[in-house]
Parts: sequence; structure tokens; C-alpha cells
Amino acid sequence: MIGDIEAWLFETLVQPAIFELGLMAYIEDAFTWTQFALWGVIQIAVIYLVCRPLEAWRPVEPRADGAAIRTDVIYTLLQRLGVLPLLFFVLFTPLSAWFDGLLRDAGYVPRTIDQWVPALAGMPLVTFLIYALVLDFAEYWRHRLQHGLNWWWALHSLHHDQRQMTLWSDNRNHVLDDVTQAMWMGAVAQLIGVEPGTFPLLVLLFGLVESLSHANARIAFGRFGDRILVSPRFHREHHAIAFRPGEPARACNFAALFPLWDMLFGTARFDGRFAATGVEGRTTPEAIGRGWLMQQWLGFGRFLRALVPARGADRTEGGRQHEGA
Amino acid sequence: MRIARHAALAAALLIQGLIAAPAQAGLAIVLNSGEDTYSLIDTDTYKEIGKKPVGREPHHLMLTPDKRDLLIGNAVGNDLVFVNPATGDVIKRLDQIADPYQLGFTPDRKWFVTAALRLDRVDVYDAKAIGERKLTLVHRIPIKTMPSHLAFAADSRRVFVTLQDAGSAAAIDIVDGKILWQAKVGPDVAGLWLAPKGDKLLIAVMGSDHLAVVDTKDGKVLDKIVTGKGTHQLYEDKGRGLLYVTARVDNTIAAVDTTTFKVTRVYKVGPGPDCMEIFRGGKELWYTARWAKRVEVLDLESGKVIKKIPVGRSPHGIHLHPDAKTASR
Repeated sequence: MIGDIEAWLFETLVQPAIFELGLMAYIEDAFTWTQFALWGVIQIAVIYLVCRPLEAWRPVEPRADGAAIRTDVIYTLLQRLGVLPLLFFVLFTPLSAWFDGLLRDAGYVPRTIDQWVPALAGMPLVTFLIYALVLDFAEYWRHRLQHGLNWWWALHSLHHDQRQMTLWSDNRNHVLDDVTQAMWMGAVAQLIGVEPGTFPLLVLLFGLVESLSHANARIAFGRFGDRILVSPRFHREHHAIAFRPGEPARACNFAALFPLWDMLFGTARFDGRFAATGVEGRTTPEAIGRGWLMQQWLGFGRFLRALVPARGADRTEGGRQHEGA
Repeated sequence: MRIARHAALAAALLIQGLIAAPAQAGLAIVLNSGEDTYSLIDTDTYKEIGKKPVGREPHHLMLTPDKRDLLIGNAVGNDLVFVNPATGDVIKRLDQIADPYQLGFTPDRKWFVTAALRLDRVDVYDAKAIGERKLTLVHRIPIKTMPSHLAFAADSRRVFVTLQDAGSAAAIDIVDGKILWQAKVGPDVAGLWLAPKGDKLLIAVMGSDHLAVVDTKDGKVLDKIVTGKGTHQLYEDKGRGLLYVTARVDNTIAAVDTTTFKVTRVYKVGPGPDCMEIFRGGKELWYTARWAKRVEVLDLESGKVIKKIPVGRSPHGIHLHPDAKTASR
């Protein structure tokens, strides 16, 4: 069914456009991106149909800032419909090919999970779960570094700026942060041998859970469930870490899918609260930035200042380097 | 005496049939380039009977010169996989074959050549140990950009290659590893075919609607044959003296006379036709429909698509056993 829609879209719209633009050498890449965009539409529809009723049913806080939410919608569309990933693909494909050629010439061929354990070739669900676990583990450590390194926190704090967190807030990131995530996830996926056909399903899983975990919904999965899968309550606790005046900051709840990693590495916090979110000291729309472009600009400025701080300036501007991360 | 001869012949046929039966079940192997697998199709029932993981981005496949093994090139996996063409079972994996997007043996079987579309180079391997499933790299020839399809001269000395993104073609001296000439042909060139006399190449111009007729001496374009928008791949039907030429945008397959270079018939087919094979004594043309995730079967007499066989994502290379003589290139 999805394949038929994809083929129709590609034949009717994409391929004629590519032909007229004189880009037929890249027609197979265009086919891949048609799939990405279609999955993005499906993903957004599913997320909206699942999360929006939950937000309406049990909101944590009133939807007071419509403009901030609309900006987050733009972030989501740019990311999940493939606009930003396409840009990264165009920029990094030659670099990736060069690096790949270099590795092969040096005699290095990374082994994939199914090469290590051939029996997994016939167990797609188990393989899928292993891929999700490994990618989530990698994401856990990337996230810890985002909070632990000053320059990275300068970028990532844009994500934490949102004081009106909703299902649309997951993709609220600086483009440089998106680049690092794409490279990180792409490299790990390649190293463990994730098949191209499986990758969109993994992206769909991450997208679903992460959108839900950002939802403005008073939802938890219970004492046991909150330890199995990241819930809105679990992740809201993470977003509260940068915004808790008068309380010691503590880095916690970094996992995207499985709280297991936080429990293993001592960063899990199950307080049972639905706390306020944001970054301490950034309370006005001017400090946070109005609209996508301004937020990107402010984030880039913070990033440069973190890399080259003025004499006597606080390197941890835009929040702080958190304990334990 | 005559009865005895007939009985002996019948017995021989029976024995031959019994021995050959398991391997002659009719197997098509199709590379699903978009999901790193290959599909096995029962050619009698026209149904997919299995799917196996193979490696990253398998695009093309071909028989070894002794027809014992089927070679699958994993372009992103940078390896070659040896497969039993009768059963579809993997025999061996040969690592360190960089980006074998397109592959081919010289007519004298001495050299194995790959076009590395992603890495912009053509690699030449010594193929004398191919019987032991081994290859030795001899030349690595950088060439820009996107080398995609190969055709070999009868003297086994030269290989012609299309350069997809550069819109040009080149001739390479296989023994010396040197580029002899490189010339512009048209936008986004793809498949090519060398005329039996060796004087002309027909090159598919995918960014346009035709085959370019090219002089093999210097790459000069002599003429063009209009076949359809997105002209992409060629396959020779020696029995009929025809070339079948796919057009990806128009979704057609044109039949071109190999002597007169005239289009004799145009078939309307499924989305994104690509690699082809003739089957059942030339009655059927099997081809991969890239955008529709299927293999389609065209009845060449009636001109009708008689079967649509669902396979994996972006099916590319196809090989048919036992009737098929060569893998689609």
C-alpha cells in the first residue's frame, strides 16, 4: 500500500521534475528521499493522532504560547519531511564516499551484527530490537555529551529553551546539532549493519517515542512501565534540569527510548513530578528568540562564545554545565 | 535396432531429466538494492519463494565465465558474493572489492573489471584464479564522475565505460590501466552496447530520450536513435537481432534492430524498467520495475505484461536460471 503510494508519487511528481532539472544521475537518491518524505508524513500523522488527544485529555499546563508551538511545528516539518536531512546528505555524501574508500584501501571492513551472529539474519524482530538498543545506547551518550561539553550545551540548550513543551518540541534543535546527530546515528547504524529498509522503521520508532515523551500530557507508564520505556513524565524531568531555580541542578533522564541506560549509569530520576521546563535565566521571548531563524542565530552566537569566550566571561553561558554529566 | 535406439534415447532423456530436475526448477534471482537482499522467484509459478540478506546495496550480478557461480556486487558493502545460480545459496564472500557497482569479465576471461560509481574509479583485477574464487587487484583507475556501465572490446584489451554524472564515455586500456579517450555524449549516460564489428557504441542517454551512436575510436557522437525519455539500459536478443532498450521516465521498452539501428516496436511497461533477461526461448522478457518493487514479465509477441511479481525495494539486477544465457548488464 505505502509502496504503491510511493511509486505513484515518484512517477507522477518527483521523476518528471528530476528529469526536467537535468538531475537524472541522482534519480536513485531521489527515490530514497521520496520514501523518507512519505514516511515523514506518515510519522507526523501518527504522532498527531496519538499525542494530540492525550495533550487535550490531560494537559500538564495550558497552551499559553501559540507562537512558540508554531515555531516547533516548523522544526518538525523541516526535519521529518527530509528537508534538513537532504541538505546534510548532499553535503556529506562526497565526504562519506571518500572516507569509505580510504577505509577499504587500508583494508578495514567493519563487521555487521548479522555477520557476527549469522542466526540473526532469520530473526528480523530480534535484530530490530538489538538495533534499537544499540542506537539508543549511542544516543544516550551523545545526549550526555550535549550536556557535558560547553560548546555542545550552547547548541543543545536551544532545545531546552522551550517553556511550552508539546509533541512538536522533539525536533527543536540547532541545525549544527542536527548535523552531529545525523552523523552520529548514521555512523553507528552503518557500523552495526542496519539495512536501508529497516532504518526508516527505526527512525519512525524513535520519532514516535520522542514526540510522545515531549507531549504536554500528564502521562506516565506506572512504576514498572516508566522503567521500560521513556514516558512523558520521565522526559519532562530531564527538561526540568536546566530550569529549577533554588534547587541544585542534576543531570538526569538522558535516554531517548529505554530508561535502562539511565538506570545503569546512575542518571535515572523517578520523582513522579511534572515539572516546569526551560533554561534558567532565559525567560523572555527576546532571550529565547522569536521564530526559527532568530533561534538559530542566537544559538550560533552562544556556540561561538562557548568556543572562544571573552576574557572573564562564563564559559557555561546559557544554563550551566550540569553536575554528573 | 530402431526400437533399441529409441529406448536408449528415452532412457537417456529420463536419466537426464531425473538428474537435472532439482536444479532445473527455474529460478530467478533479483537484487533488491534498496533493502540489501535478493529475492528468489520460481519461474514456473511466477512467485517469490524466498528472500535472503546479501550485503549493502547489491546492484548487479553476473555468471562467472565457467557459469558455475553467480557473482553479486555489493556496492556499498564493498564485497562480492558468490552464489549458486541454481539454488540461490551463498558460497563465498570476497571482501576488499571496492564499490563493485558494475562488473564484467573480458571475453578472454583474463580480467575482471568493476565500475565504482560511488568512488569514481574503475578497478581491474587479474581473474586467473576466479575458479578458486579469488581476484587480485591490478589497476585502480580514477575517473570522474560516476562510472556506471561497462562494455568490452572483442580483443579484451579495451573496456568502454559510461560516466553518468559527467555525461561522457571513456575507453580504457585494461592491460596498461590508462584512459585512452574520454568524450561528452549527453546528459546522464547509462547503459551501453558494443556493435559486433566493434566500431560503434550505442549509449543510453538517460537525461534525454535517445541512444547516442558513438565512434569507438574517439568517442565522437555520430547519430542518435530516439527511444524514450529516461533511456537507461540495453539488452541484446541475439536470436531476433534486436536490442531491448528501457526508458525510465516514459516507462517503455523499445526494440531496436541491431543492423539498421531502427526502432521496430515500443512496449508500454511498469514503473522504472531497468535490467532485463529473455526467457523461455525468447518468448518472455523479464525486467525489474525499480519504482514499483516488482519484477514484470512481458510477452514479446503479444506485447502484454503477463505477470507482476512483488519483490523487495528498488529491484535492480536480475538473473534467470537455467534458460538465461548471460546476466543482464
